[in-house]
Amino acid sequence: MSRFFAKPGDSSSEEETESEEETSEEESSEDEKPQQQLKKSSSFTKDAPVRKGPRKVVSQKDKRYDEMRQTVKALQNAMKINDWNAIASDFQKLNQQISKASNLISESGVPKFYISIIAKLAQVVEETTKDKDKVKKMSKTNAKSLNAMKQNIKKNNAQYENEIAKFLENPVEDEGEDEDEEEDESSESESESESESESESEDEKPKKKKDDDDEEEDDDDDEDEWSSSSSDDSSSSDDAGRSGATGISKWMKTGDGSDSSDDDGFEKVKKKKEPKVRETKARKEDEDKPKDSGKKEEQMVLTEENVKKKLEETLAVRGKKGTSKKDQIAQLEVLATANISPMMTAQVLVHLISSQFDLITAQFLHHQAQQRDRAGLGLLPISFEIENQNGSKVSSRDQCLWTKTMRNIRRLLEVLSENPELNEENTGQSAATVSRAQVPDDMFEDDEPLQVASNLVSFVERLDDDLYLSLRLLDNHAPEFLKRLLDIAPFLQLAEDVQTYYLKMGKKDVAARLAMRRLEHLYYKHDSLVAKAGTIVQQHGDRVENRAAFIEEMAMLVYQYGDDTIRTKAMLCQIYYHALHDRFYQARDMMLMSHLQDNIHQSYTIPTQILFNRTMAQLGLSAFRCGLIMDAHNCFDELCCNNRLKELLAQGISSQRYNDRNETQERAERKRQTPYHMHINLELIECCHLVGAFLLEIPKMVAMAYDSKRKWTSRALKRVFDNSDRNPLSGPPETTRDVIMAGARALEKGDWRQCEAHILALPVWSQIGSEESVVKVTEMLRRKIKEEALRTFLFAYSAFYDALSLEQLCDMFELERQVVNTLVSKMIISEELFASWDQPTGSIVMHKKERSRLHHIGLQYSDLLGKLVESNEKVMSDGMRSFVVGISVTAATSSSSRTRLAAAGSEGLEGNVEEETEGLG
Amino acid sequence: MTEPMYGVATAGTRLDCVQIDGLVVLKIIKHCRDEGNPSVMISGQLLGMDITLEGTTTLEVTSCFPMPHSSEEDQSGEEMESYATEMLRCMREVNVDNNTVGWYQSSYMNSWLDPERPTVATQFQFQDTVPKSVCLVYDPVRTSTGSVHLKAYRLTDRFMAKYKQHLESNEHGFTEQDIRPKFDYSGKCLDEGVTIEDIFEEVPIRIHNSTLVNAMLYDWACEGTMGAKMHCDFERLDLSTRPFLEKSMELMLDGIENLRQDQERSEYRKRDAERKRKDYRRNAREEPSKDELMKLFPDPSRLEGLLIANQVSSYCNSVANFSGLSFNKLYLIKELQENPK
Repeated sequence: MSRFFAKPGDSSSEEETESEEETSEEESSEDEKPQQQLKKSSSFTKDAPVRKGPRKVVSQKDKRYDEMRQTVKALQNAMKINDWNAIASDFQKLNQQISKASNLISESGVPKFYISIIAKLAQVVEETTKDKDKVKKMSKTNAKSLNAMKQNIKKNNAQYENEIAKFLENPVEDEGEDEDEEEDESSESESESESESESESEDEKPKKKKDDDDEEEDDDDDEDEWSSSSSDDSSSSDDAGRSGATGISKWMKTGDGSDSSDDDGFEKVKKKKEPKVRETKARKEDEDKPKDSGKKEEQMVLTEENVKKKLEETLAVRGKKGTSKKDQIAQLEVLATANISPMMTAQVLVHLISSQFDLITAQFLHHQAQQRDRAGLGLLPISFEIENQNGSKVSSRDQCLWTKTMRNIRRLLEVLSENPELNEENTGQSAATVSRAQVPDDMFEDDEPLQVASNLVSFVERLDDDLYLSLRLLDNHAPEFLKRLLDIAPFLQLAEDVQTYYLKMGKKDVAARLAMRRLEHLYYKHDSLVAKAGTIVQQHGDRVENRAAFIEEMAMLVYQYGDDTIRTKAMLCQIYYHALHDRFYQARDMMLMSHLQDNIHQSYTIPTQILFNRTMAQLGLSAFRCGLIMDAHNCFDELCCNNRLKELLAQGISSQRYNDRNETQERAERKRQTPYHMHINLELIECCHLVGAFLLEIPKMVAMAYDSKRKWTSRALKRVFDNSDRNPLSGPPETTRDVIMAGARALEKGDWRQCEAHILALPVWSQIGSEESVVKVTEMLRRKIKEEALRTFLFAYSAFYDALSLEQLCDMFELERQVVNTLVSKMIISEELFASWDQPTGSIVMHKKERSRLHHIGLQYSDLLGKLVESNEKVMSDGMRSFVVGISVTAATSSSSRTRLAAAGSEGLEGNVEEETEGLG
Repeated sequence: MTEPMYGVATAGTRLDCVQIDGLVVLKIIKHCRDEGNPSVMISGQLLGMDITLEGTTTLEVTSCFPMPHSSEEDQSGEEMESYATEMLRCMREVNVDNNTVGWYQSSYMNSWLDPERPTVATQFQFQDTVPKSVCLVYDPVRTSTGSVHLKAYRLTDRFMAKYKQHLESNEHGFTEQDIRPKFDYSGKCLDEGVTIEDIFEEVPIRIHNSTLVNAMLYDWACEGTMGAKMHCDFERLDLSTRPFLEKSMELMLDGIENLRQDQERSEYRKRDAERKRKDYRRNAREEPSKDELMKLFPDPSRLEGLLIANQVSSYCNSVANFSGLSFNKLYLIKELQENPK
């Protein structure tokens, strides 16, 4: 790299030349010594006017010396590029000139610059020959001339031994002599410094080259290596970019160029080495142009026309190959600072912002391409990606591209709102179209295409998308994640401001979109959380007090002016918000009124469906907190029934054992993931679901123990039960599921103490909400467990009692009289328990109506026969007379009627038999 | 009085009675008890001879031998066969009856009728080679309650004919058409078809002891060593009805369930066969006759359904018998309880 682009050494030389310019300018003004012009003629056009100074007669000495100096210059140049052919010829020329000027020399001695150049030449020759590698790399002719040069210079230098020795002793001799001397001096020092930089770069070059080689090899071998090295590259470029930000003279630093070449050309790099070099060379030339123009910019007053011209110029090169995006941004930044009409500023800002987005996009695509390559490895270089995406390797947040972009948008907003006559459409139409052309539609998971007509809002939305994307991709434990989280607040504020602007402009639909964006950042936060945070830091873009109304207001705006999709989203967000704050009925009513449950699976996009699932989960949790077990169960049932909770809430990729997902599906799933800070605790959901399910299920299970074809209300619970049944031995419970299972087993026996001990010991309850709600939930659970235990007990054992005292039941389950009374009465009414109250003694008298097992089987048998007959009749009516089955059925039915009769008869007699045995006993 | 006729030469396959030696009964019981587990099926061969006297044909079973454990049957049918021939040879050498007249098997609650058990196939083989052979079914569980539960069964002639046809027609004999009764135009029955009643027929059993044994038993009875115990019947005291009924009902449930499944399956198969026929007819160049089609794409077999239905009906019968007896007992006891004197 250093070969083509200035490194520190280079820049110092540049400075030097500049300082030299100054001095020389001074001198020329004082002494009007035009020959100095020669030296600097080549590089800087702005020096041209100096040349136009009055011409002077030149003495012969001067003429000769000038010629020589020119040759020296050429020689130096040749030395720089290591062109020994040129060096040899120049050296010869110089010697000829010297011999021509022998008269002069004899008069005034050998000129200093000559001595210096030959001394240096000798030095370089020596160095070069020592460097075997380099020699090898040279072309044949070059190497030949080098050898010739070596001998020549030895011979030649022998003549001037003394002078050279003197020169080397004291390179900067008596300054005050004449300007020739001084000139020599400075040229000397310059050349020296150049030689230094030269040698430095000479040292560096092979190494760098080698690095490049390594890089390329790595490319082929190992993607990881490559990416890391490229990350180094880009980070270094970032560094350059940062340093560039400080001073205008440096922002053109060539690191950018290299970066862009890396960015754009990295695919080519893979293929060939040569093109890259060429390309970079070409880039270097390009580089000069903006440099010049930048300089010009700096000097000229930023008038409106200039800005306009410049803007057009910049736009013209935009998107073309070889244009550095960073350069452009930097240029536009400068333009934006200009003191021009707001109209222009707005335009410049629009372009600036969209090119900043371009940069983000380019980087993102770049990394996505990488990611695609390594998709097989399954690892996402997430942090890396984000670092680059937002340029946040540069540690301070202010420096990252995202923040900069945000600031620019804010500025644009300010400009627009200060000048209400500016209609944003006319400022940025062209820019907006460009931006659309450059942003691939499939890049962001957000399905709405960028609205170009109103580009301010689309900027804000883009900003939001990027923020969301980075939150999603970042590791939730990384410090960057927290930093990104902090970005939400300023974004919200910006969105709010933009929203008010649009409201003022009368564009309510756009305002609604912004409100939706804001709502999406707010709905999942609990009021108390915000309030707590509000005591420490001021909450930008959020409200500490009266937050419900705040959210309501936003949602209303969306309902009124938004389109269908975002109305649905807003609705879900609001339901979620209500559910989060335990306003279950309110949330449920909204959910029911929206009729979303009916059509969510057909008519909405997957992100909306995920939001719906999240809302349902939260609704279930809120029902659970309110103690509405049945409602909670209904909410959870669908989510939890097939082990896909993770997938449904988009909180991690579910690992299905027999998954037939392909790469694209998996990638799509990854894209849908919810950022970590919005997650709902999965364990809590599962725990609530299972506990709720077994509280509902166990009493039923015990009541209908004989019915083998009983339907389970919860399939998930059935699965858990089946799993635990399969274990031959059950150890002490370990996982949450085990503990719940143990609790359920205890409840099955009516042992509520054990059940309570198991269930309430679960640590997960602390996640259910604030402290008071934890207490509330614990209390509720305790009560529910007791009640259900009582019911279970009655179902299981009531047959063994003639009567049960209410007092005893109260004691057994530590429940109040009234509660027991209610529960038992309910059971009696619903005919779950065959008993009646005996009020005076306060006891329940059981009616012996319990069916025996034989009864149950008999009933099942008749049911089954009924089914058989039915299907048989159907077959008959279908015209396919199936004779055999018909016969068999009639036989079976007739015999079954006999059987039932017999069973019933024996049943009837049973009682007598028992009596008799008792009597005998 | 006509001469009794011995051996298989007698015309007809009718069997009026099976006369079993007491020794054979004891041997069967012993075999079963040695096995230990009542749910494992045991089997063995019966030896003896049939006698036709005055129009009644009696099958005398005079000896038997057990077959090796049937669970290894899958490894070789030949082994079993060679074992049987070997046994027969040995029997002949010691001059015992060596004429195979059938086989015996143990059963648990009518499980011998289970379509998964090879009862029908085995009995068909026996009856095909030895027309007057019989299958003795012994239920050790019900025997343990008191009286010996031993039954003799044969396949009916009609079923035999159908089954033969079934085997010959590559297991497609039991279609709906085949088992349906057929009548000619005058209403005369051409073919009675097969119903579940027509699979097995029960043959009455008579247990026969040699005169010496009878004498000894009589002697014991007179002496009083066994005394009154000789005629006691513990089964009459067994009042527990539930276990049996429950078990029977459960098995019936399974049977009906199987039947239902079989119904569905056969419906499906039938529809399939019909569709195939239709396809064939459409694709065929010339119109195939109906018989041809039937031959090419026959209706599914109904044998299994038939067997299941038979099993269920046998359960029903046993339950009906049992509850009849139980009623008697219960009424009796009720009466006793009300009038203790």
